[in-house]
Amino acid sequence: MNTLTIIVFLPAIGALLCLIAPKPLIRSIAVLTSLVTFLFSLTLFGMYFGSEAGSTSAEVFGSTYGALHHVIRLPWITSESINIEFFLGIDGLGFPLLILTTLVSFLSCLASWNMERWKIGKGIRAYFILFLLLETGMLGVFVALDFFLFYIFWEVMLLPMYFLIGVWGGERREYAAIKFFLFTLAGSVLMLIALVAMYFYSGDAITQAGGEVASAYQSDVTLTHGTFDLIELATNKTIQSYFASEGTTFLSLKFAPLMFVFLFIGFAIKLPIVPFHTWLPDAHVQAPTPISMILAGVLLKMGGYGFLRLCYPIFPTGAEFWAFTLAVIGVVSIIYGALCAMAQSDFKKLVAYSSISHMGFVLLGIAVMTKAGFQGAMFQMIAHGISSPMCFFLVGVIYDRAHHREINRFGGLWLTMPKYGTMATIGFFAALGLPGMCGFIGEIWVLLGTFDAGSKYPWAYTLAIISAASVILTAGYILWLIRRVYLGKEKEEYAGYSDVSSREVFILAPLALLALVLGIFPMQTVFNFTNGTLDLVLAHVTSAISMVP
Amino acid sequence: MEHIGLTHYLVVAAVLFCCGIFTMTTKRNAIGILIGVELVLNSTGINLVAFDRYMGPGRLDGQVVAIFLIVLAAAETALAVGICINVYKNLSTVDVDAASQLRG
Amino acid sequence: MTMWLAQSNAWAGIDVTRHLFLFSPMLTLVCTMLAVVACPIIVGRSAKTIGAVVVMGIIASFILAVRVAGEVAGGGISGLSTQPASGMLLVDNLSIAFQLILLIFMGGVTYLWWMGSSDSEENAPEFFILLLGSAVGMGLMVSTSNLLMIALAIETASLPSYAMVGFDKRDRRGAEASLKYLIFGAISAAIMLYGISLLYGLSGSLSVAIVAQHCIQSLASGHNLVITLVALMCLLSGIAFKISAFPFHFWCPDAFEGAKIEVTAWLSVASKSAALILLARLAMVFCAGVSAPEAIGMLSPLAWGIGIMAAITCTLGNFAAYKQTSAKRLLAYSSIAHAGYMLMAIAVFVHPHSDHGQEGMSALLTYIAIYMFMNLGAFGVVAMVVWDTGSDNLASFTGLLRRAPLLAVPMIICLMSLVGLPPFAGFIGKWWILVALGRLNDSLGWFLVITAVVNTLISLYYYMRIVVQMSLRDDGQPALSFPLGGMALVNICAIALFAMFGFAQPLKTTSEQFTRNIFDTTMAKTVVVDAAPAQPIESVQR
Repeated sequence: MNTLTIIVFLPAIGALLCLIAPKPLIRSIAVLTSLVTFLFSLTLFGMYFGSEAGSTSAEVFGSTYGALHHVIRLPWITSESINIEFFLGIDGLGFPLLILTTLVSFLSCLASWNMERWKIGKGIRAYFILFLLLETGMLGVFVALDFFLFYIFWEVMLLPMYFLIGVWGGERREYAAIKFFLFTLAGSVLMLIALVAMYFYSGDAITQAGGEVASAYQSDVTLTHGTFDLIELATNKTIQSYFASEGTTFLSLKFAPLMFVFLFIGFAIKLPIVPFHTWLPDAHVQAPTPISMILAGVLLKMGGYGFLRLCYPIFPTGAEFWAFTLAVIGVVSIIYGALCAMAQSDFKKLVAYSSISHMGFVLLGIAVMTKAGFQGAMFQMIAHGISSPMCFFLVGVIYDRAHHREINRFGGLWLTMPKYGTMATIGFFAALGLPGMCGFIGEIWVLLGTFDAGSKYPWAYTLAIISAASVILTAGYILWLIRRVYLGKEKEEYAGYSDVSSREVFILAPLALLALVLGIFPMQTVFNFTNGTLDLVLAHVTSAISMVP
Repeated sequence: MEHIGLTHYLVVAAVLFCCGIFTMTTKRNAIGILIGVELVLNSTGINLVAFDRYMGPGRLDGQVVAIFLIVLAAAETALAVGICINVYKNLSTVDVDAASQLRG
Repeated sequence: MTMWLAQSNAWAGIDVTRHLFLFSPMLTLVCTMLAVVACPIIVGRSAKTIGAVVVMGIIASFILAVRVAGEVAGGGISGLSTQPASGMLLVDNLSIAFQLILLIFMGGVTYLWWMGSSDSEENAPEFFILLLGSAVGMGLMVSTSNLLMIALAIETASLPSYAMVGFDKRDRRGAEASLKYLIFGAISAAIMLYGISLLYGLSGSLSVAIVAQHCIQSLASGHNLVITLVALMCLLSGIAFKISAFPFHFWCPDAFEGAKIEVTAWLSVASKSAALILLARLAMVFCAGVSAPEAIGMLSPLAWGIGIMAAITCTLGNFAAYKQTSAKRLLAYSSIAHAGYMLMAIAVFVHPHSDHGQEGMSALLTYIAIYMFMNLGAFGVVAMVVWDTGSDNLASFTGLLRRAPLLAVPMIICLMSLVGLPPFAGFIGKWWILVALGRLNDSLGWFLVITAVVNTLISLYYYMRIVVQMSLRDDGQPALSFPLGGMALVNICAIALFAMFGFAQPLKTTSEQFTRNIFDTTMAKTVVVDAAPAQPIESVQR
């Protein structure tokens, strides 16, 4: 049985079990399911240790973009000439994000153990069923390599997330939930247009080339119609040259830049990028803590993953066309997010805006299309996926006790709750990007990549300087936050608070540990597993660009 | 007097059609609207029979349709008057403007 | 009897027994009507007895329809006529497919009626005569390509519907609704008949195939152009009224709101799909006669016309649903929007680039099948809420998720399916239409793709209003219990929606099977659409 199929659908089976299980067992079943999924996903490390060398081994990463492991490929819907397959596969692009998803889901499941509401027994079953279905959707997105399947998994996440925010959220949960739903669906429908268009245009490409084209990376497979295969769309020379050519138009606009924009907007809403970011502060703040952890830790990464899997490999000329715009938008996100974070008095909202700021680095790294840029973007995604759930959980810990999130009312929490204070410092310094922590590696790699791009794009130097300077803003709001909340004199209203329980430590400790380990050993922990594929993606993109006159 | 040809019949039918349309659109009384419908149906009948008469010998299709049309018109009228009676019982009028409780 | 029929001259050469067998589903419904008429005399007017008779009739009809489907799988016939080209009554894959869907749906509506009205209904025989009559009319609508029969079938389907909408004589809103429906329908039918008379005059025949040839000649040469266009528009106005396409949709919200919930459910699916399949068949016949190059160019404005009408219909339906507070009106506007989506499928095969239609046709049929389940489920839930609380205002749905989860969850599934969200079947329906549109590779196709997709987004908000009322609002009312049969019905619909998503491949294959080998009246024989070896044709040469 294919490992990826098991990993993706195990939470769904867990959801079915939760449907029929007796009430006291539901939470245990859910936590157990997410734990088992996490352990299964760890077995995927095996694909890296079959070979002798590490990150540049051609056995693991192949010599061109498109080498996959644990592939399962079954025909799903075939009719006339539509050929949709159930196609899962993993490579260096999806692998770290998959591990991140299973880890964060497991920790969130633990974090859901005793939400206030459970004490009156309201809706435990529904919560965990939706949670596990959400996890299936998320896992599916990172391993699906057939565009239709990718789209299905992408959409499957929307409805459970809507209910998770809308039913179990804060005071303005209804507004936040529908805003999230509408924004994300708007992005998805643009993706749907691109989905249909890409299929038929790839079909046209093949027809133009005589009706039969050999597959670019599968031996003895010929394509006679269009394809949904994401790898094929990216690597097949016939399709790529047709997409990129001047004559290919969609409603009399050039095809490649237009499709890039459609896909970009879809993913930019998820990432999120200014100006499509307005759903994020509401959704993150109103969602319950575990859901905020998942939103920030996993869902935002799907935007970045979408760029690296769909936008860039398939439309490199579009990427080239919009490079400056994307980089500028990235920098704007960084600065805007940081400035908004500084102005916040709601703890959770501050962390939400810091997410926007961090994701701006991801977009900048991808936009400049250099080795360090791509690698840094991926690392930043993982780093943020560790630090952000940690920060949200830290907020959740104090919200559970104080029932408010106003920063200015807090003070001296380190003295009241020493263990919590330590964890909080580690978490927030990771978010800050302190050297030695994961956030620093991500940011510095992106900055190096941007400087590197200066040889190709002169504007890159300016943007790199601006981004580097904005790190000060990040430091500003985080240090100010720590000072207001954790340092200072002890306050009487918080004097009686219990320190973090063992369950909470169990959730925070792995994240803290990972933040430190990733910061000190980035190569061994992340880069060795991702750089192979990322470099190939970049090579594919740059070669495609250089081929266009 | 000039020879009566197909055109004459078609023109009469067209005039009836226009009268019917005018009636249907301007009458406020439901029965009046139904009279307009009848006018249009009858103009259709004239058209059909005229086509049969003037477009070649032995054509029967149009006349058969005209007979069906009479039956159709009768059925529709029966039903329509039934509905108008129902409306009158509920609203005390058959003025279509009075049917305003359901927003359009 | 059949021997005697066969011996008289007019029936010479027709295998009467076989033809009667092939028409048996609709004939069985007619016999059920007669049985329902006879029932009050024999066994009394008890609603449950009449209901039982009707159910037996529907089951018998369904069994016969399944057997007929097996018979016509290889090719259709033009029945009970020595002039097959006239196409007056056809039995082929498409018509029998719709009849199967219609019968299943009628079973569902009868079941809904059984739960809600069978205790209080005094006029059950009359209600079912009307329901069966309109069903027969709809069955005939899809089985014809002859102008006379089109008119008769549309009227047979419409007249009982007018009466059904106003069936409760004490209900003032029902009376208003039926009046508006009647007047609108009568006007459209009258105009359609005038158009038919003009088309007859222009072409000398009632058969749509011959009419199409003459129309295309006229469009190509410019001779009698204005009259032809006027006549075609008049004909289309009658059909568009049944589809509730813009600008003939004004009757729809009022009629749906004023009618009983079972009647609303019936009209929203059955009459629209019958009219859509009729339009599809007409479009197919029209296009089959086009071969001259200059005439093919004529198809493009036609395709654009239908496409723009479809786009306006679905956009208008979606926007108008925003401010509705009555669930029935909201679903009425949603059905207008869905009629718009289905109309887009028809624009596909009127387009010169398409290969005349199998893709568009099978997309349409799939959508109708899925749409039936979605609407049955949604209206079933609304029906039960209305019976319990007395009002279909959105406020009646408050807190339904807590009070009756087994009702609210299927409702959420049906509503999200209506939006077109995976992993529900509604997405599959929309997907096949998008594929058919995309295959055109033409600006019309992409324009419609973008419109359909944007409308999906727009429609989310108003469907979510019901979901929000059910799940996020709560006024603390006690838990409700609903009749078990009703809950079973809506849950079956919801499960069917999941199943149709998972088994999208078999669904697609089935609908493709049902849209090939359609009887082609231009050549009075079965046209073989797929690459399978030619099936024996079933036609009678004069």
